[in-house]
Amino acid sequence: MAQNSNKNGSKTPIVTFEDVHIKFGDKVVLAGASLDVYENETLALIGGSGAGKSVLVRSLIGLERPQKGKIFFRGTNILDLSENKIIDVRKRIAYAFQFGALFDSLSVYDNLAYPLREHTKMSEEEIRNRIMDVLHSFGLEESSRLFPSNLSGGMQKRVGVARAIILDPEIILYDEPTSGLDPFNAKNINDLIIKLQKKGRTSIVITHDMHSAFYVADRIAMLYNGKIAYSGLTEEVKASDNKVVKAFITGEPV
Amino acid sequence: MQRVIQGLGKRFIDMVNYFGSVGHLAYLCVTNMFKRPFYFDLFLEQIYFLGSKSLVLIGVTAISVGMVMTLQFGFGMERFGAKMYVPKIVALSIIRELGPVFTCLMLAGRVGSGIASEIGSMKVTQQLDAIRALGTSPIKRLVIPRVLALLIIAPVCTVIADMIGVLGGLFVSIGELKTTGRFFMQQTWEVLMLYDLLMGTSKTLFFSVIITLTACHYGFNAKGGTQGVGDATTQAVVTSSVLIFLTDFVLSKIFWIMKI
Repeated sequence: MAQNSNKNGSKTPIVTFEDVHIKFGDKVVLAGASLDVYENETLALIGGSGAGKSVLVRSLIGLERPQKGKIFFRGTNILDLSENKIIDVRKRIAYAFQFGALFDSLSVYDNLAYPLREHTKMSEEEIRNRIMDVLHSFGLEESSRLFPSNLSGGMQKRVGVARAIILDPEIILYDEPTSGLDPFNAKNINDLIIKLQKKGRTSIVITHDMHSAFYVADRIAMLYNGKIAYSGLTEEVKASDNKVVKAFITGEPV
Repeated sequence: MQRVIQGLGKRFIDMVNYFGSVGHLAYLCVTNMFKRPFYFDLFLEQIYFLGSKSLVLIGVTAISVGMVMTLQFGFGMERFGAKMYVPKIVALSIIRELGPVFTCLMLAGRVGSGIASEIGSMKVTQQLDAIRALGTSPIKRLVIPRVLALLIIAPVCTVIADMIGVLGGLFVSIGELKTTGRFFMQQTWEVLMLYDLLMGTSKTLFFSVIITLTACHYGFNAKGGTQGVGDATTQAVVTSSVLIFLTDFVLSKIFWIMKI
């Protein structure tokens, strides 16, 4: 049975996953996952490989369609929205892909300019200033003219996060933001997540990295057997005697 | 026996899936074509990439077809004393059938494979998901500019191919069949009507839709990394080539019934 507590007390959740079921062919990935995410919190979603963490989060922006269940964003069930209507939701919820998913035919600069040119009326001068600001905060200002194939995996990941946040979204979804990064860059990304939270952004961070989860998260939820097996404040998770959570944290079999 | 039936059943289901998926893609193109934003720059870019880079291939194919046809018909019909009809037969065949079909087969190979591999690569590297996650539409950004670009390029390339093909026939006629250039061109103009050209080029509109939607369909459904992209590319070229031949027969029959 999932336990729920949050640092915001009685606040209404900004996102609610309600009994979400997703299967691909015969493989059941989510079997009734339910989870609330509150405004201005950082939630770490943990779970084993193939547990369905990315699938759950991708369904929030309509990249996966559940066969059953509801997903509310600010009171609107996004599963009732058509592909054209869901575009408005996608402008407000950014998704930082695990491997960056940068457009390989565009330079770093043009990758970052893409959402600005699509969704704002900013002039090219304003776009340039915004991009250089963001690149500077990621330590990537020297890479603006490079193409994704010229970047290391870690740099691609950072550019992917930079592109995700450039529109200043309400919610940021991070898919394994620190996997494959060296400790220095992993800390940079973690600090950035915390910095954005301080600016009032809500974050959902998919991660296997418990060090990172404990560092950035206010709350941690664990996905196991297609459901949220446990969710609680970070301190509660550390002290939890839930055997699934304990086994995951210590790396022992359940 | 059971395996054969299962195999046929699978082929049938794949075929139904293909037509359903391509039909849905066509529906999305039509319904999104007139909605903002319009990517006019991408459309122009596709005209350049798809068109200019295919012209040499199409030109070489057209001149070869014109030359070989003239040679074969010339030597074959000489036996019956009908060599004087060669220019008419060559011109009509090229402009009504061979020009459009060979041009679009070349486009299926050159352009269709390019589209399928590009979109397939984007699929397996999650770039298609990124387009959607960034609040934009892959249909509007990738499919519609390519469909519209090929709808313009295919007829233009076909007219160019027709001219090059007839020119190839003219060279062989002068060099090998020992007729005069004036005779060849006179015979060609005598037999050709405007509707021959219109019939040929109008077919290419159907072929270009087949090429782009088939390529996009296989690209969007590419699975499993580089091998999946390769498979998608091969399937796109094979399927669109087969459909071009089948559609050509159906359209020719329809034009025949309509007495065009």
